[in-house]
Amino acid sequence: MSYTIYYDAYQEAEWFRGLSPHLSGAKLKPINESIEPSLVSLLRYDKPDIILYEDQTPRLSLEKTSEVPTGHNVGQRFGRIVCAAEEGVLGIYFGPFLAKKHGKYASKCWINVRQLEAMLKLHGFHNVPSLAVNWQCDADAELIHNGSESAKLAELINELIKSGWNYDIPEVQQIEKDMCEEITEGIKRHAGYGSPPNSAKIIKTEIYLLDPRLKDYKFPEFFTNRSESLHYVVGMKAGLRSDPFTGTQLLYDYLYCRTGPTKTERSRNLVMEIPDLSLSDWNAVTNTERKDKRLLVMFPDILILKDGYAKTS
Amino acid sequence: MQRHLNESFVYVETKKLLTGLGWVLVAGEPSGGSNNLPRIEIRNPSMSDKGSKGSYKVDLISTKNKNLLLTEVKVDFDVSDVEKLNIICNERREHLKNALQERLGLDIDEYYIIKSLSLQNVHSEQVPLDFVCFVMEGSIIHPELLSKD
Repeated sequence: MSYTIYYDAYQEAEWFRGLSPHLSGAKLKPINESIEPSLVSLLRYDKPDIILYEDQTPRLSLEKTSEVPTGHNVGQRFGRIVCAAEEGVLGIYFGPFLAKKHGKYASKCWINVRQLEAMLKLHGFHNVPSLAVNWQCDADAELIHNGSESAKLAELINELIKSGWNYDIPEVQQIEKDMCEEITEGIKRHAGYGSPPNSAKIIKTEIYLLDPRLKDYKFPEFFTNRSESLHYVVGMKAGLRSDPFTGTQLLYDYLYCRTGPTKTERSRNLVMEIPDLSLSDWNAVTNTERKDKRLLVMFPDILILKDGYAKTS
Repeated sequence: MQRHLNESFVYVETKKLLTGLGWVLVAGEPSGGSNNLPRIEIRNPSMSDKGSKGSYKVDLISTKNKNLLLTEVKVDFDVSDVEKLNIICNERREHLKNALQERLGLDIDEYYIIKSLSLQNVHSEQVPLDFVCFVMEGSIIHPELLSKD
C-alpha cells in the first residue's frame, strides 16, 4: 500500500504522518495542487486540513483545531465533515471538548455538543462514521501539547489501516461512545444544547405564505407539505460572507431537518434568513462560484433576504 | 530543499533548525493551521474584552539558557514582521510579560530577548541590526546576537 497525505498546512501533514508507522513513507502533497477528481469532490464545500489516500482511494478527511467549538464557530468546519460523509469517506474532527480560554475573562470552555450530535446523525444517514476525537487537556483545562494528546487518534488510524478500514473495530465504537457520553454531559451542563439555539426556531410553515418578501415566490408542494420549518436567522451584518454560516446551515439541517442523506429528505424545511442583507447586496456579488454565494443557495429550501429572497438551487 | 517554499514549510524547517541549535520551543502558532505548541496571545487589556482585536501572536517562541527568542516566519522579507516584534518588545512588552507569565509561568525579566526572522528570501541589508535572521539556505544573518550568554 502507498499513502499520500494531502495537506492545507505543511506542519499538519508532518504531524499526521507521525501518527502511524504505516504512514512513515507517505508522500506529502498540497491539497491545492491536485486535480485528482475524487480529491476535488472532497473539497466541494470547503477545504479540510488533511485528506489521506491509500493508493488511489481517499480514506479519511480530517479537521484539526485547538479551538473549542463554541458560540460563533461551532458549525464553521461542519461543511467539510458533511462533504466527506457524502463522498463515503470517514470524517475525523480532532479538537478539544474542553479547553481554557485566556484573557481578561479566562474560563473553562466546553464544546457545544450540537456538533457531536450532528456528526452521529451523519453516520446514520451516510453509513460512514464522522468521529470527533477529543484533544485532551490537563486538570487546569490547558491543552496538552506533549504528543500524548493525539495518542487516541493515532491508535484509531493504526487500527483502521490494519483492519483494512473496517469501521466496526472497537476503537471506532469507543469514540462514538465517548461522543454520546459527552453529548449527555453537555446537555446536563447546558440544557439548551438539547434543542435548537436562539438563532434557529422551529415554526409553522404556513407563516411563510404571509411573508411579504415571498409574495412572488412559487412555493413548491414539498415545501407546503412539510408543516414545520426550521427558521435560521443569520447575523451577517458586515456584508455577504461565508463563515461560519455555510457550515452552520448544514449543522442545523442535519440536527433538525434531515431524515436521509440528500437535502430532499427532510421532515422540516430549512429556511435561512439574512435580515441585514438586501437583494441588491446579494445581486452585487456576481461571482456565483464564490463560496458564500454558492453554498448559501445550495442547501436551504428558501433564502430570505432583507427585502426579498434569493433563488435556491 | 524545495525551490519554492510555502510559509508552513518554512515554519516546520525553522522548528527543526532551532531545535538543532539547542533552542527549546515553548510556544507559537503558524499563520495557517494548528501546531503542537501552546498558542500565546499577547492581548491589549485596553481593547475589547472579547475576541483577538488588538492582540499579537508570535509565530515561534523559544528559550535557551536565559535567552528568549521571538521568531516571525515568512517566505519573503516583510517589514511588518520587524515592526510587529519591535512593538511587542517595546510598547507592548508588559503585555508580552503578562501573556508568558500566565501561559508558561515564564518571567521575561529573567531573560535576554532576541528578535528574529526566519525567511526563504531576504537580502542581508534588509535585516535590522538588532534582528537575527535565519535563512532557509542555511545561513544566519547577525548570528552574534544569539551568543549573548
